[in-house]
Amino acid sequence: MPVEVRGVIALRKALNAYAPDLAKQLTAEITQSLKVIQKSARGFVPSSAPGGLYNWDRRSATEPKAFNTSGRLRPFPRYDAGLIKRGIVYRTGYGKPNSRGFRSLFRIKNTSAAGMIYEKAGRLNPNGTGESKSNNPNAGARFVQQGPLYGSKKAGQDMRGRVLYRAWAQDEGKQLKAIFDAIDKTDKAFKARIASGAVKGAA
Amino acid sequence: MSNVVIDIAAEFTGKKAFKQAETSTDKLSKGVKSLAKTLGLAFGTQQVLAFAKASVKAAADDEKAQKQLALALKNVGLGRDVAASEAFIQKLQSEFGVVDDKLRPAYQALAVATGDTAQSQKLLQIALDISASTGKDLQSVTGAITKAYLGNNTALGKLGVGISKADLKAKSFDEVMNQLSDTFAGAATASANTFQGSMDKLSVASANVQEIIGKGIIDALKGLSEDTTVDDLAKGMEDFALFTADAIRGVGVLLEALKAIPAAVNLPGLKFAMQATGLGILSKIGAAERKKQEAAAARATNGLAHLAELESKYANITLATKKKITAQELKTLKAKQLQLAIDKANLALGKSGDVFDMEKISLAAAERNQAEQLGKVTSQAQLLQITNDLARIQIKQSILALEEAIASKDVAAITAATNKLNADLGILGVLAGQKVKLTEIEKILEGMLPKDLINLANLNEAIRLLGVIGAGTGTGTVTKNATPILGDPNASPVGFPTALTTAEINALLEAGRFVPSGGGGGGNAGSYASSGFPGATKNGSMNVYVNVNAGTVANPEELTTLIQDAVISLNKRGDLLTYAGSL
Repeated sequence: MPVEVRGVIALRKALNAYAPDLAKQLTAEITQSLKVIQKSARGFVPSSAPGGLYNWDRRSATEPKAFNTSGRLRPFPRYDAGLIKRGIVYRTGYGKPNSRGFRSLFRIKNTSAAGMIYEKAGRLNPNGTGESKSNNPNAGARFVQQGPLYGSKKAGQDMRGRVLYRAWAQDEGKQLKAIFDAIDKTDKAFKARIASGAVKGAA
Repeated sequence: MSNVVIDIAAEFTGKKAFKQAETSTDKLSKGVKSLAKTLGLAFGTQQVLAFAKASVKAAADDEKAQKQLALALKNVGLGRDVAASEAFIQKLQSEFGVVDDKLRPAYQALAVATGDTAQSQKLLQIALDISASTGKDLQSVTGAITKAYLGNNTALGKLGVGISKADLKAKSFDEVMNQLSDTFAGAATASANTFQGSMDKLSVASANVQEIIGKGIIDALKGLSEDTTVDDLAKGMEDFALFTADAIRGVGVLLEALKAIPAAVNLPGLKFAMQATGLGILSKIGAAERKKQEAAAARATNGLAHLAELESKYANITLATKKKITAQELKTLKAKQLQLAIDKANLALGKSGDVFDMEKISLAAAERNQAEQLGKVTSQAQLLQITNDLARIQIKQSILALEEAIASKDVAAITAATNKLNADLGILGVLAGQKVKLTEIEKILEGMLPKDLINLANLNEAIRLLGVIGAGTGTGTVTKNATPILGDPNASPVGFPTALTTAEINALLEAGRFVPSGGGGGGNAGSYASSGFPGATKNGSMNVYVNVNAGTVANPEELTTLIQDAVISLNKRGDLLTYAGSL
């Protein structure tokens, strides 16, 4: 659940307009905290397919060039550690408001398909659903039991995972404090600058 | 698939927030309007303040325009005519109802183009007439005239002033201007006398009033506060406006009171009443102050004009001096540049000499190649062969050095090069295991000296000796060092000199000049039978052998080297072996 804040967007707009150096400094400090999470999350990505699912690994030599699209939109994503690591990114720009009118200020994403599967597999049905077409009746359970899920499940939001959520659960408090300390510090510096008259027209 | 995203912080900025903001703004607008209604009386003060501000701005703009014009005139050498030009503009302004803000740029453009005050004023007058007649704005007309003065008649033709292209091409600028002056004469005056012209004049007067008031405000506030910062001046203006508005209100109250007195309702009484108020007194004081400042400004303008004249003269003298100095510097600089170019050319020539000395390059390459081969030898025979080759290359280099030394006619260099060559030959001789017979280089040196080959004394002596040897009747004697002269090899030794004594003949024989065949002499002196001397054969059957000395018999490699050297040498001298037109 994101922390709801007020006035940060206005502060960043004001910084961009009247104190670009402070805006840059704030972004750099927030980025530093986000990078800690990103690096930690990338470290939780196994180098090969987890849980002994060696057939899930990507093999570029045997990968089919074309895909028969009957019934499915695309082939099942292969496990590629490099691709998953590259897909773990952070963003510091505020985007469009969501349906409830909230705008995300800073976020970290696990964007690759295989990364998402590894992140969340087994959250809903830890023992599989039995819908697998495999001859092995335990194939579903075998696939989703790729390792323990870290994090917590609260009302309305499941924050459990193996990569990003694990890293977030590990460093959440420390990095949140660092981010909001940075915002507070910049806010104070900006107000001090206005009070000293160094920022013209911002009052 | 849902995204895996961790939102660290979010802020609510949805539609609801916009609606709240809009409502707040509406409320604020309504509040402001009601506030304005409530404070309706205050607008009077605000209007006075706005007028004061506008007046100050107008005065400042006017002053700026004046200064710009003065600067432009000064820059084109018309600094002394600044005051006259300003007066001319003011005259035109009041006469034709054209504001000085338009006249100054037009006059400035003309003055910059012509560089002549009288011409500028004449052209501005014509431009005003054209502008009034055609309805074109003054700036466009002035621009066209300026361009025409500078030789570009296109814009003037496009003005539609009734001048054909042929006229524009054929007539001079003065003729065209005279034609225009005749065509549009009096147009500006006629326009000024119309109702619109009167309105324009009023407008000009109004603008001038604003400028005058603004200037007065600035002077007064500066004088009062003695502080020239903008903030203080603005504060002073606000205070002044408030004070003025209060004073006007007070006058209104006073007039209302006067109206209540029947005898006081007439203009002289009103004028008296106005003069009696504090404002009337202030006006008198202000007028006196204004006159003082105008007088001071006029004095300053005259002084500045004189100063500008002096500056102009001084600038001309300085410019001439600078031109002289610059010309000298330019000359020196050109000489230096020339010398630099020559030095560079010499350097390049020297470099090219090194670059194109193909013979040296070939030898150096050969030497380098042999040195490389030296590192790859596998047998003593190869080593000896390469060493021989290197020695030959050294000899070739020494020969080249000697040729260059001979060409330079430097005796010391020739001697040194000769010694080097002899040493190299010695090395090669040792390597080849054969005895080396050195060339007598000194003879080359002697050969370089000019010889008096034929003179009368030599000729007479030769004839005498021929007579002695051929006829045997001469009375002279053959000297020891006389060169033997070959006769017919088949002839009998008739006429052999008999005057020689036995001791002299023995001495000649010892010197190797005559060696009898079969005498067992042999050796270096050669065979008497092959010498070709008379009496070489005693029994009439004489065999004649001719030895042709062709120098060193070269092996195939040496011959190849010689041919290559010859080709290189020919190329070096410009005598190419290729035919004309070949690649």
